[in-house]
Amino acid sequence: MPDTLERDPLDRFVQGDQKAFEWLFRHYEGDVYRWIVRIIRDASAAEDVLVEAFWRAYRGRACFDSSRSFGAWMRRIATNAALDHLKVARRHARWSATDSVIAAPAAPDSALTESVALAFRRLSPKLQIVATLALVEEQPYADIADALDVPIGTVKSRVFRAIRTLRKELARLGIRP
Amino acid sequence: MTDEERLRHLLRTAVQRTAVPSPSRNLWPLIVSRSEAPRGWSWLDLSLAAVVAIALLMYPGRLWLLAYHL
Repeated sequence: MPDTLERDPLDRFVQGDQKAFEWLFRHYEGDVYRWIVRIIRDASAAEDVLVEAFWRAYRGRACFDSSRSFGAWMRRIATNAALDHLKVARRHARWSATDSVIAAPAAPDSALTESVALAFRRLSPKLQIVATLALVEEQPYADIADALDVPIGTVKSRVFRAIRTLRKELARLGIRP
Repeated sequence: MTDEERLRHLLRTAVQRTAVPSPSRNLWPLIVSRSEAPRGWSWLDLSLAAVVAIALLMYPGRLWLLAYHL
């Protein structure tokens, strides 16, 4: 439930007030941006996704219930925008062999690290999102479920499927983790 | 360490956690420019225009009907 200081901009935002929208943008852009970067792992592309997410929020403002949390609503929209970005990036990656989104760090066993990164990139966008947020960024399942607008059980099942798919993919690459 | 823990560890090594504080530039002007950009024709608009154009080509005598509705 938003506090009273936030209520007025939220009501005005729903009515289409651009000043209120700017206030909300300034207030939430940092959090939303960091959330998007966690998902798509590309700081530059995250700026485009952030603009897209806030634009979608402005267009869909009539659907927003101003008695509820703007941050949670915005995070949900940002997650969908990030998912769309991952889908497009995946289609483009099919045409080009390189993928600069995830830079594998130098490691003692770089071949193994590269294989794991490759297997990760081959996950479907839906599984990639939960794998990133749950396994890499270690975000609480409840937050992930809220952002994806799915039950916690669905998040757990997607994490399980992501691990199973990663293991299969690594086995196909000749690696048994 | 179990198989699953080892896989999680490998994943965290291959795909590092992010540490990005905030956007590198002011993005508000981009949102404003989007809201001020004129809306283009949607697929529905284009389809309707195409149907009307084809109908007029096939039945030019019915132009008065279109003119009446405009």
